[in-house]
Amino acid sequence: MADTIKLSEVEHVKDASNYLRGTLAESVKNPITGALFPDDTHLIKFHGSYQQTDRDLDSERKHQKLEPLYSFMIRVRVPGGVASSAQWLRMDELADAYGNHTLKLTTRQAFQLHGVLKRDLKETIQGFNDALLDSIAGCGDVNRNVMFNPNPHQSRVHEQVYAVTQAISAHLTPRTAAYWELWLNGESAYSCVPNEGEGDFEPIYGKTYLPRKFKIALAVPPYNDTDIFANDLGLIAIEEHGELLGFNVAVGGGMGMTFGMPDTYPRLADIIGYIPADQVVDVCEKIVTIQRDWGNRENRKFSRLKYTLDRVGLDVFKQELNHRLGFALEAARPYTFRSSGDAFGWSTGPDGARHLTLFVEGGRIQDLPGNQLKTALRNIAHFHTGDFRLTGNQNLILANVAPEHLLSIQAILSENGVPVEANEVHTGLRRGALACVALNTCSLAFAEAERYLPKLLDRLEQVIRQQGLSQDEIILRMTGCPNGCARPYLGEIGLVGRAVGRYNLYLGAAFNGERLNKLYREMLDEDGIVQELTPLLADYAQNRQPQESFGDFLIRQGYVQPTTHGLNFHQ
Amino acid sequence: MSSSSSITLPIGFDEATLQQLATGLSDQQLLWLSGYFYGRAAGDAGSLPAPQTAAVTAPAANNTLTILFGSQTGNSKKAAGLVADAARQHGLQVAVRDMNDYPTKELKNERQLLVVVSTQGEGDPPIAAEELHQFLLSNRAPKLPELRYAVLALGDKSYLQFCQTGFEFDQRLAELGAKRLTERVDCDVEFEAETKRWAGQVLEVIAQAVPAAAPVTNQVSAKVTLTPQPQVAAGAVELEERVEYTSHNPFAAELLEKIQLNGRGSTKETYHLEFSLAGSGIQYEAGDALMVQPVNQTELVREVVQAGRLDAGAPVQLNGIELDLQSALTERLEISVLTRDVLERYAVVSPQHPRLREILADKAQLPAYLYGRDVADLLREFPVELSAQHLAAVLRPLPARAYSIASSLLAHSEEVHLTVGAVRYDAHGRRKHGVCSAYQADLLTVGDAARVWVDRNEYFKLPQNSAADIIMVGAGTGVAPFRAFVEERAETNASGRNWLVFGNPHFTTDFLYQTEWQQHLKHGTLDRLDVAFSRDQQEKLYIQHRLLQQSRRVYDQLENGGYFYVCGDKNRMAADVRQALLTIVAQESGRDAEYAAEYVKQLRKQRRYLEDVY
Repeated sequence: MADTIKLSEVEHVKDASNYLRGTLAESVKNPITGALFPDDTHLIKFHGSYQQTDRDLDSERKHQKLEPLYSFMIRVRVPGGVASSAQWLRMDELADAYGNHTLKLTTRQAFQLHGVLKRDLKETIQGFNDALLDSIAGCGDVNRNVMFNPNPHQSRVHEQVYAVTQAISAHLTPRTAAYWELWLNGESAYSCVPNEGEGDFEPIYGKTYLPRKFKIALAVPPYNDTDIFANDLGLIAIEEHGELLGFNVAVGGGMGMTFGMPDTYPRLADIIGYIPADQVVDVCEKIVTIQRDWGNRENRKFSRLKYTLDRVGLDVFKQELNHRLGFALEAARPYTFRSSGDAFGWSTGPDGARHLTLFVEGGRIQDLPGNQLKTALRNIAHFHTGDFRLTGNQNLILANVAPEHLLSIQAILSENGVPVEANEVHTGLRRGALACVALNTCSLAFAEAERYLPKLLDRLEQVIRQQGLSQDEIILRMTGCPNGCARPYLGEIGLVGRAVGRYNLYLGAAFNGERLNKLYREMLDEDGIVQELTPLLADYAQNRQPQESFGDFLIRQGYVQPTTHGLNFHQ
Repeated sequence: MSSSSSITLPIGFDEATLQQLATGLSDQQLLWLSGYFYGRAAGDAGSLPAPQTAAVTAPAANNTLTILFGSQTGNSKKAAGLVADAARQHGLQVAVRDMNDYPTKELKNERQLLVVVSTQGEGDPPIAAEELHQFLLSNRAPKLPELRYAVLALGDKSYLQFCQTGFEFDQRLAELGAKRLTERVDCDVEFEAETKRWAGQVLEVIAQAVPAAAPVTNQVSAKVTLTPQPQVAAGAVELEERVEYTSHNPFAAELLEKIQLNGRGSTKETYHLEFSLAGSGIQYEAGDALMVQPVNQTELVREVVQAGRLDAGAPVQLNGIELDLQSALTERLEISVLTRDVLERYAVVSPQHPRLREILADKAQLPAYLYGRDVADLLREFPVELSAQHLAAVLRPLPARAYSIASSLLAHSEEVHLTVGAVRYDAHGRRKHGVCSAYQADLLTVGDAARVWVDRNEYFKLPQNSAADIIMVGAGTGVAPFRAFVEERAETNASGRNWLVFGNPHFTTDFLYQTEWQQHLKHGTLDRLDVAFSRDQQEKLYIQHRLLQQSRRVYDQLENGGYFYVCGDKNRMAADVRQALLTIVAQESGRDAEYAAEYVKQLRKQRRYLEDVY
């Protein structure tokens, strides 16, 4: 079989790239275009960056005989989302110096800069490095940022799981020296350069890396705010008396699909067993290598682990995993997830430390008239001795706030018009809403998401308030395309862009992230969305049972059938 | 040297080229050549079109097929590939072309054309197809009576405007007189099966036509075009009727297109203008200039009328023609700047202002006074009682401005393109505008006619020897003639290398004609492009720095008989480039400054160092 397959274009590019170098050095230097050579646009992803254009201007600039306004999105890895004040300040500076003066907190707890010009790539990446941050493996066919929300107020076991998160992230970081050569002049202030001085060798990935991206997330029940079932590999922490014992292992989650191709589908991960904590890194590595060897390298639309699993079957996969491990996974242990959202406002941890969870609309850190969030956070970072924690829901926790800083943080936020207690200002619907970047920079977007969602929410909130649902948490997620960056198929309300101003409406996902939603209506415009949702919300307000979430209610009332597996998502 | 320099050579010739041509020829051969060239010149209009027409008729043979695709996601490209494969199996010669790179002027040469195009969003063409689509739907599209075509439209049925772009191509080609080979097919998301079915239909129609019609018509048309007689006659008639367009008799050229070339956020304001010369018979060469007769802005006319406390309707006599002051100030008189002669005449009619005579008397003061002032400033500063007629007599006629032509007639027949930088600044309390650039930037809109004529630039011309390398150095709008040069050398397949050195403030907003240069680089019609964006880094970086960085390359090309052209700002840029060239020659020759000066002087004498500066 291996001899006859026709590898996809990207496989050839990776193979010829000499461990992700390609012709990037020449591409970056070419002064005639703001773009890279076509092959290098694949490779730059492994370095954490996507080449994009300002799509608002594409047509105008073509007429002006100018090439598209090329710029780069750069994604900085933050395993578990924990960044220091110094790192926050550096990202804030870089956004102003080279980016578009905003920071995006992603749905995978990473920072994104947008609008970086090719000629500024090197300085920008050096800027990360000086603050002990990096963008390698931010994108590309490798393990991406490892997610875990170390909600410090929740339990002591969180610090233990955070250590596991960091260990997995470090273990699965590519070993190639290309990143350091290309961007850092071969020097690194970052202490954990893998395999320094050993030359290029990828013991886990091999020279063609994985067939496609690979995502890992961890969670401590009952909170599933990292949406672990949406990941190729999800790890559910099992604890006893505040001590971490091990993890339930879930495999084969993934959101992306392609319109018009019913054999592509979102899928939630299946739990295949339990592993003690000291063997979890090994399990991650072995699962990655199975996907490396078995994943589809002909058609990237079918390359994710979820399709590998449904092709070979879960049992065959488990056998192979046990074989590679040299021992068998134990039976999964009981656990319960309650929710997948964030809790806003001040909280106190078991050690008495104080934390503040801020609502960040669309994950965008920026200064707007009347809401100078970016300025406020910069001012806080100047003295805050705790850290900044990015959540998987695009929000931000000011963690471990020193008692003497409580009032000044409160004052700075108020001065800059940033609500401290999001619950008092925003409806539950807005607080739980996620949006991907979409237009104007994402090349995949068919429709608006982040720029437009606040406006749509203004209208939906009228309905919500009329129905007395202001404080009810309802998960709404919007993306500009079906690839699923904001995990739209886990939205109790999912809106997925089809064309400018047109969305498919999906309904009925579980509140705790354990059930996908289902297509309800196609190609709705704004009026259509509001008209379709209004009677459903009214029905929910009147006829729900105690504690019943919106997604569960819609299923019980028969508005949509429950999606029990990715394979019946389209049915 | 001294004897030959007394001979007056015609434009574009130099001693060296002539020597090169004549080397090793006997007297007999030289005599024969003189007759040959005389005959060729006399044949002129007659002999040249013949091979061209032959070239055009070649693709008319029915075994050739052009497949033109406009793709956004790659599906149309894929579909075009499927059709091409099928067509090749039918023995057709297939050219698959991307609309994005397709010169619209080639459309009229097509004989069999398959269009494969998708539709975006709510009925828009893909970006790659926009230009062709716009051209085709405009009234500039040529009649296409000899074209046979078919359209395959790609789309998504869930959209309201399903396959709209394909529909528009299909309708418009029919309107232009082209004949459908087969009905259009609109494909939904799954396009491959439909594509193959449609390809089968089209190819069947083509196959039916080939054996009977093709060879016969081909021969006939070839015979006709090879007969020179009627063509010469037509050319001669045209020559007799040709009108000479001058300042006294400008041509009213319709503005076909106006494009702001600077991206958003630029501090510059540069326009690309395309004028029609249709029906004028106007010919120009790359390197020539176009004279544009401006009119003054209404606001400025009002300022002048108010400043002079005059009546806009007052009658004025100008060169025996009577018109009102408003029209005289708008169309006939220069009011946007002050010149010495106007100031002198004004001083005469305003004896109560001795200060005016002081300014005029002080040579050092005068330019500083004139700078940034216009007629309204003068009338306000030194008020006098003046009639409309008196004012008209003081002012001077509104002159036309010259712009280096930015197009080649070979690439854009019956069109002339300009690159115009809008001149605007604040001075003496008001916003001031360059009269002719503002006329084109603010007043002229597509469909309007501008009064124009050609001003020949005798020396700023491409080398006669098409194998000679050229180095073109231009900043800002100075790039204009080089667009014409490169187009001309591309159209004539000149083998010499074309090297452009371009500068402007910012890469993202001020890279004039960026995508055209990229295409030329891709096709090899531009050998090298160096850019200097002065404000994209801490230290300012200009084109002369780029030349110095490429010192060896510059010198080698000059040593190899290359030509060096400079266009743009006279005072700063041209002087800096000249200095850089002196440095380069001294450095690379290993000789002293005196040698370098002589070297550059010789380049000038040989007309290999040429400037078009302003």
